[in-house]
Amino acid sequence: MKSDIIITGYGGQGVLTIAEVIAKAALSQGYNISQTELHGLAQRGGSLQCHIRISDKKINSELILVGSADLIIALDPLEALRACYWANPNTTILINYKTSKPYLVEELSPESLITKIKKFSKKIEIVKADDIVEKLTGNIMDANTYILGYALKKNILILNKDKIWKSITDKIRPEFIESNKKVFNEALK
Amino acid sequence: MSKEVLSKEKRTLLFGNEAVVRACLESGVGFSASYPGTPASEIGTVLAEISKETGLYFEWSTNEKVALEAAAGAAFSGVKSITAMKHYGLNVVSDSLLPLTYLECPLVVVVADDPGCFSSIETEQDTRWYSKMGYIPMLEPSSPEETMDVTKKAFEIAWKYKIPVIIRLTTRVCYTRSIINLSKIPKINSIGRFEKPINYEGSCSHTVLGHEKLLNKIELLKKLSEKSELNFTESGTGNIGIITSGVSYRYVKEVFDDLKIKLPLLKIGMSYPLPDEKIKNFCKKLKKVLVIEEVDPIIENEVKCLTNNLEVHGKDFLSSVGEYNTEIVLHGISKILNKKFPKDIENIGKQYNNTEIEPRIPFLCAGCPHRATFYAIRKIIPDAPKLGDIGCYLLGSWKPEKIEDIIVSMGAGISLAHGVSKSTNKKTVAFIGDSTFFHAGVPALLNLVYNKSDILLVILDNRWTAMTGHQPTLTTGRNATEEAKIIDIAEIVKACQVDNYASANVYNMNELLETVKDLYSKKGVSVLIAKGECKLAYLRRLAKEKKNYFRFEVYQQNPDLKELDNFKCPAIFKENGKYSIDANLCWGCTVCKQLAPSSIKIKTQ
Ligand SMILES: Cc1ncc(C[n+]2csc(CCOP(=O)(O)OP(=O)(O)O)c2C)c(N)n1
Ligand code: SF4
Ligand code: SF4
Repeated sequence: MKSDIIITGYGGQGVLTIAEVIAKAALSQGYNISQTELHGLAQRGGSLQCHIRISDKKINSELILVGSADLIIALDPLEALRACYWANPNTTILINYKTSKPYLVEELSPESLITKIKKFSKKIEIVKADDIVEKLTGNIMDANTYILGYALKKNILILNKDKIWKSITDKIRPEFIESNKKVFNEALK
Repeated sequence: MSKEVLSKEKRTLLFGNEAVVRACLESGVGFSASYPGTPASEIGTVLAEISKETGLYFEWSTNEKVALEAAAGAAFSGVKSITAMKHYGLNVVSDSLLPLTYLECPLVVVVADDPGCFSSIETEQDTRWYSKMGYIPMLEPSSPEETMDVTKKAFEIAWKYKIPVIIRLTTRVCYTRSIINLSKIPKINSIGRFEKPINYEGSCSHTVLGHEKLLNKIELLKKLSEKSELNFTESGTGNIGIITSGVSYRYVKEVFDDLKIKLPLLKIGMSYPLPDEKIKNFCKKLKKVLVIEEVDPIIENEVKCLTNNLEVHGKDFLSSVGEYNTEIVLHGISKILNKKFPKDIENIGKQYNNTEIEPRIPFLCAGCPHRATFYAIRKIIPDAPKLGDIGCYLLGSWKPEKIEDIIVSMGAGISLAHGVSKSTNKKTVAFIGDSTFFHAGVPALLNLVYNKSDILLVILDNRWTAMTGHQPTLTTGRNATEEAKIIDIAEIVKACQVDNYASANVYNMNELLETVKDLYSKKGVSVLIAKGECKLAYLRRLAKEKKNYFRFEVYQQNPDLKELDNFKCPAIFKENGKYSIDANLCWGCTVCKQLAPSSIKIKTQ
């Protein structure tokens, strides 16, 4: 087993939390893990990439080589395109389809970004997590839980769903567990 | 964060920064002090979290120099102690750190460099130079696992040889999380007995003797470096070898695996003093060597001095600028082996470089108090030179604010503005955050008064050290571990004998505009204390208390909305001339409603 994953988005979206959830689930499944991220300036709305390497062998470097990610999870289409640096035609790219307008970024429609992304890999999964979750619980903060559930269902995140759920519940405040559970189960359906 | 650091398991996932703290606990460290600075900030954050439970004393000091001196005091009292800072902190502390080597102070100093400047805007400096200048032993881990071992080793060396030891981390080591083996945490000893260094006297001749003694000690440490397992070789085939240090070591190993090669390798983990003989021995059978080290060619230059008839490459193949990664190292190794860079990888890189991707740059949060202050200053003082400083408000030099003309280093803005004012006969403006004011602003403020400057100093009191992750500052009402006095900035300004000063609530725009106008109209030193809590810190507290806040909405498209173009809140959008507020992004600061009262109201739900 070897899975090289990039989690990407912009500061404030919860990129680091998703990475932590995945890394801890992988730990509890007995894998070797290396996860690297950035703090500081990047967290004030800038683009953020987090590398997670999971393997049953020893992991040398924490950074994934250009063009060699197995999976990219992008919380936003523009950041998905930026992360294509690590993509090859076999890389699965899971994109959260965000329609809300970003700040200081010229209008670029998700469609035109996705067209560009397809030049790197055609294995694209699009999920409208914000919309679905907004309808489901009214709290778009739960969107990342949906994305994780979706990645598990599609078998592109090859980890145990119970371990991921345990890892989510360890991370969130108790009062949010109920709504996250609803979202997670919906995604797994 | 602290849960993992205190884990009773045999192994757990830790970041490099957390590994430092765990190693302190396992080494029986009793005293620690720090000033935040990314990428080292979390060392202090975690120490603050575990301090009460473990008995390991920790404080956020007012600046790095204060932290280092306090830690040195503890070390002179027989308590194992540590201080941690980002690389710029070392510039600040060097005045004290260098003499502490003469004074035989057994101290561990963690310094985090930031190759690639992910959270640094001043220089991309290489801390390793300080070791050469100050004769300070330096250890350089390449991973969180190594950080654990190296930190323990640093305490052993510091105490055995009675000398400060620097642990040089880099961003990638600080912010990589991997599985670390843990040992038992012994009982912490935080109380010792002060002892004056043997035969100490503060005289010039004594210092010269101290210099000599120090050089002798470095010779002993060189012997240690020769034997140390931190400097190790790995066998390989051929007569081309690699010498590497820090995270680069890991990229080299990755490249070896990718290319299915194994070259002779020397990994340097103790980068001062270097193991000269080990290096010479390693190079003896080689024809060419490639030195792979981030930032400056420090090991490379030494290798060139130590060897002859050897082709030594380094910065001619690999850059001195930016962070390394596997592909950069792959380039270097391909070059020295005269191999082509793998085609498929090169093509992806090329295709990527040809794709236009808009940058997404950081910006002040919606509702940030600094935005309101910038707006008021821009409005009242459109054209005076404005000098900035370090903190979240450095984003004031970026798009779209573009209000700060220059930022140099912590505390520098005030005296820069003073120099500009004296040399242009113009009343200038300087911005400084609360934490930065306490760090290095007070002497500069006194200088303004003493030398009769003409400047408006704006102290941005958001009650937190926000940029580095919301550590408490002297206006928070807490120190690292408990409740503390709130230091009133106005009282300090008053005590500095500033004639014209006033505080204003930045979320009351009329009050703020009036105060700025009044203070700027007065000749001499004026100080505005712009008060408004960091919105992110405030909202996090509200969320914890399960409280909500009002959001705002545009309910009429009236002409007063136009003023919002000058305010630039990231929650406000304008499309085809129509304004709207994204309620998910609004942080309820009320300023837009004050600027466009006939168009904006509290959002009803
Ligand atoms: C010598 C030095 N130490 C630490 C830092 C890291 N650093 C950057 S901004 C900052 C603190 C800013 O706090 P404050 O002035 O209160 O501004 P805020 O971020 O709260 O707006 C620090 C410590 C630095 N750049 N230089
Ligand atoms: S963290 Fe606080 S001070 Fe920094 S930009 Fe956000 S609101 Fe402003
Ligand atoms: S929309 Fe208005 S109230 Fe909300 S954060 Fe922006 S300026 Fe403040």
